[in-house]
Amino acid sequence: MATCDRMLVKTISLLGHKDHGKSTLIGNLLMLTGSATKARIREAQEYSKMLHKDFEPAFILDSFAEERTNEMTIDTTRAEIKYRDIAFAFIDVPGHEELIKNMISGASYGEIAVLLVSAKSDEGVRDQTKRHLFISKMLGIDRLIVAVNKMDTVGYSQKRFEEVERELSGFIYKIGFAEENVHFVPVSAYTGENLIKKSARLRWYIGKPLIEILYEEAKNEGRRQEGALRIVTQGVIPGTGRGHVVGRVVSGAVRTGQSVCILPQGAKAKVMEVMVKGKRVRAGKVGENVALRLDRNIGAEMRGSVITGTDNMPKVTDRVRLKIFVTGSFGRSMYAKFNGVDIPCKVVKVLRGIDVSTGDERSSTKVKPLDAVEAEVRLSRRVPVENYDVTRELGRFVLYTGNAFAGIGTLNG
Amino acid sequence: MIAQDLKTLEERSIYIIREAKLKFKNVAALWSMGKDSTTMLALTRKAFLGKIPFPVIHIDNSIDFPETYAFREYLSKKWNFKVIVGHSEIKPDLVGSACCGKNKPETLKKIMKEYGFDALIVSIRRDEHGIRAKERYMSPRDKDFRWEYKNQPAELWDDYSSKLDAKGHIRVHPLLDWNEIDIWRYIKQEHIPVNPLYFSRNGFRYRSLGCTHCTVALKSDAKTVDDIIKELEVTKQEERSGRSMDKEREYVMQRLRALGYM
Amino acid sequence: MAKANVKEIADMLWKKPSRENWLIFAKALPKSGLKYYKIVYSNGGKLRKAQELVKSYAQLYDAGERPVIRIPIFEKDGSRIVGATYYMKGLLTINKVDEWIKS
Repeated sequence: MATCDRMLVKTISLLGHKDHGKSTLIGNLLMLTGSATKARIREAQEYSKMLHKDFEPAFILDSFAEERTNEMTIDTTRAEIKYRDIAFAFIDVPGHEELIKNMISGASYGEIAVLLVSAKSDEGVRDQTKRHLFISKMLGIDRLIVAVNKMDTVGYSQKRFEEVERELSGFIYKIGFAEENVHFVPVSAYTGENLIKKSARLRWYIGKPLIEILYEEAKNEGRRQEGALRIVTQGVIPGTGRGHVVGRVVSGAVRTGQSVCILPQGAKAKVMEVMVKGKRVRAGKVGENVALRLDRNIGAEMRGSVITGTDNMPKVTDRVRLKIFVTGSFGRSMYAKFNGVDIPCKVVKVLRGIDVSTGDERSSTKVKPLDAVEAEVRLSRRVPVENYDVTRELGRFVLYTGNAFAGIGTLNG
Repeated sequence: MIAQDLKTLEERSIYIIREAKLKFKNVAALWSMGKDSTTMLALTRKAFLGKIPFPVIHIDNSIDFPETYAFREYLSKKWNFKVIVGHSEIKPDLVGSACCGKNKPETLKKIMKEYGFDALIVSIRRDEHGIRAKERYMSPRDKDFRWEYKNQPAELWDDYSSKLDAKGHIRVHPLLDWNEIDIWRYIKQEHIPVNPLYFSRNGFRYRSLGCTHCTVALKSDAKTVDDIIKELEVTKQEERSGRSMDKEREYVMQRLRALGYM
Repeated sequence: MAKANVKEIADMLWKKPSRENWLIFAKALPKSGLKYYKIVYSNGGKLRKAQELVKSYAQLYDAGERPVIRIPIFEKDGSRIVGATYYMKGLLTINKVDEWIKS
């Protein structure tokens, strides 16, 4: 292993059905890029030997022993795969239906996803795969690399590859992915072909190997430097005088002397001081956690509020129309987690059902777990909201019924 | 080992520590005087304009290193914070393995109850081997301190917590994304004081600290933070391994036995 | 504080490692000329019972790394036995190679 250089860590969600080879992909990527330590590889070999199995790269990943028993990853695990100056932190997302809850947690970390789909005709594209994609798009993934796996079992057939590509692209574009952000790559995770280097047996494929496409996408990930000021507040910490309001800048920048508006309170104030990491600065930028001294007391609870500029402000409302991926039942005592606070809410009306495996409207508006609906939700108080595509933090809600997770909702269009 | 961008790590940790203080009613932090928990305290000062606005707990089993006790006194005075010392015992009828494992949780439980803490900041990192790779930024513990990893709540976006039963508490892990080398690079950047045991004397030093009973020294000539960073850049040794490569097979056998394979 | 007294204090601790005596030791430490320590656990370092603490000891050295005295590492008040490394605050670990191999 080379001496460690400073590396940019990029989170990549790895989606796909459990039998389509994800663990194998990770294992082989770890080895081929030299990212797995000798000790870890040796441990995997020892295990394989003791279990009388052929050496499976998948064993390298497992940090929970039970997983090895069932050969199924139970929870999201991380693997860091180094390539040039980027370390890809793969979040392996389990495919088992019962564990959809965990899957959502896994998918929400990355903005780039790799979807692994088997080329084998009897394994093809499943409803579950489509469901993963639907949720991923909802959760902010907008770059997708579809790795068509097990090409070694279909004779490296270009025809079969294109069949899979055709089968999936319709759905992918329907749920909102842009063509220029989607790539299809033929691979064999088990033999390692086209993961890092191109393979002679895939000569008909004119694109780049998987890791190179990933690298390019990771390098191109944009930043929200421009855009209107949005700070989500966590509360007030004691400081000189009336204390400092602390929060995270999710868009734009905040400057000393700037006039700001605090929502939903609707109060106006001037920023007297901006502190970042304990030091006074002229401006706080995207991604930074700021502590602001304002020229007045805002009074009411400052948690989950939004600080904005005095123009281009988000709407403040207690009624929202959300696209909801349903994970549990909707009931009487529901609440929404929004920017760190719990807001009692009620699903007033289900407008339409959405079939997550096609993206089309469903004939029934019944609320079914693992499917989606569009619904009107009323919150017990007014909050600042914005389209999910504009400012994620102001357009997403996690819904609960009692203590049970009921769904995730986004404000779209 | 990957050296990550410190600025990003710092921002995430500051956010999590602020959340811990502002979201829960009564949060406290565990401190072992080691490099990780001391870094956590340094980050806390950054998050709260130089102050440490919650109690700091040391669970003391009475056989820690003298340097560790000295460091506890030194830093608490320098950074002006109080330490709640919980004394765990080495029971005369203790059955099984190490002294640290059995008794510390009992003592911690007593303190949590006595002071009514509902959240606890713990400085574990994901790169520490094994089960820790599954932890989340905030994870609930029930009243018996058990952690049902199979029922982990959905940690969605930036809302890290979940509802817990009244007697349980939430564990907060602000250093989850940090690597061992990131900790040392940050210590260097911020000139954070550290326990002298980390530095080499007579050809040996400690890479990770426990009490005098269970901690093993490593061969090393690293006398400064720079030396340690350089050493980490080339080493492949797992932080908590006292095991030599020869013992690896034995270790694997043990694990399989525990699983019922042999 | 003369160095000779240090042997007296060590004897006192072996006879009665009470809190009172440990505090006397801690007070005498800064001017005692002692600088380093090495803890040797009985039972090859596998501490399971408090009783085993009783058989362990700390070898103390001067600034020239010469061994001076041996002291217990436990405190006993009534029937309660706890560790006493806290009182050795101020001393530094010696990490000596040959000592390492011996224990």
